[in-house]
Amino acid sequence: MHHSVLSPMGPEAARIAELSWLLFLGGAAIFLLVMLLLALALGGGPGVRRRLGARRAILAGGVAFPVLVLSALLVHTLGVAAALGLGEPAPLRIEVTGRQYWWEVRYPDREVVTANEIHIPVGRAVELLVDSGDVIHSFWVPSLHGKIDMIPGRVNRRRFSLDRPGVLRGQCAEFCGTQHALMAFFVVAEEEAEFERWLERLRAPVAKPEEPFLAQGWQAFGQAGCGACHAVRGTPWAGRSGPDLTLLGGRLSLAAGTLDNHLATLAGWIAGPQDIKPGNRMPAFNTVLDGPELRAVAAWLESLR
Amino acid sequence: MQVAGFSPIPAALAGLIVWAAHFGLIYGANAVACARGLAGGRWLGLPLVPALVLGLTALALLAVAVIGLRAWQRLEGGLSGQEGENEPRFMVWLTLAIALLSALAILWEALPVLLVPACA
Repeated sequence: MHHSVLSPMGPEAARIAELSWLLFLGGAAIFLLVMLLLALALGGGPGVRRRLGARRAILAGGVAFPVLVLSALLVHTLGVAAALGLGEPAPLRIEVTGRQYWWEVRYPDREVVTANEIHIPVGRAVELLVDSGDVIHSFWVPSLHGKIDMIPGRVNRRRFSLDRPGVLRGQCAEFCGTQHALMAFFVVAEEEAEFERWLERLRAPVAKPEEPFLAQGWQAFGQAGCGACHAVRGTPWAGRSGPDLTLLGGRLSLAAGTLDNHLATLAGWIAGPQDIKPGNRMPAFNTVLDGPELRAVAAWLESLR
Repeated sequence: MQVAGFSPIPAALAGLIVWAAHFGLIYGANAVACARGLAGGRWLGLPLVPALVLGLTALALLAVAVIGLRAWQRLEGGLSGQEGENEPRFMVWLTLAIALLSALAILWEALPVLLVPACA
């Protein structure tokens, strides 16, 4: 998994990584130079010390050098920033809305909605449009791009692309409330064909299962009122205040990067989400669903993949 | 020139005041242009925002140049020998140094307008 500025997965991230290395190495070189001069000033002979203390040396090293270095860095950095703003035409558009404490992901041209996981085909130009449904969040996938603020009432845009398959981790980078630290997500970079298959699965309506145990889960999901907040494509449940659950079983994590995704963590999450991620919007269902119902709901949701 | 009991500090800070005014004005102009959709606008055939920012930058640089030059003349001219009586030499030197620093800061903050697309 990639979660570092120093592990770039696309051309935009590569330019940012280059800039980071320039700053790290340049900063280290200047630090060593200053330490060397300090050593000379402390232990050098009188001639060396006189030259180091001369007005000309102080003006050159203390004024001219920093002004030149900082000016050059400023011009270079602004050049990188300007280059990152350009993109190829007709990109794939992806909209992400930050919410306390999860991410709604939409592909407006494909009419699909998902959550906490963004699939992106390798080599395609992507236009990302981000906003917020409540407070200010920040969308940050270090191996993809810089931070992008998510501001209520404003859409921020970025262009980027990924040049090889892999899984990248992203994280909310602007304090947004008690569970800010547990507001993560994953970017899945995959080949175009695989991406299209994923979209197909996401678009397919979910039918009521034949298998009795799963059908019991479907029933209990409806009776417990889960559909007031959650949507499952093709079912009567179309709530939008919580994450869309279509293909939930196929996701890499639960509760926005909080838990690994398997039957036990899912059942545990439904029973007691406030014990796992206190302050999130989902109430506990351990008093609404009995044991068999809870297991059936979890089994049905895990089967959606 | 200096009235007794009148602080010489405002003269030394003149460069910083010009810098702050320039910063506030170009930041505000850019924000208003982006918010009102004027970023692509033109005025007398020139791109509106860059022209405005460059105009304000030229004015600000002119102002700090005047401040710096006057301080320089006082340093070179009749000030020597009168230290402690009127304007301490150090304050004149500070005025000049701050004017130079302000000029640099003004240049640095005008640079993004030329290099980065507005409202990106």
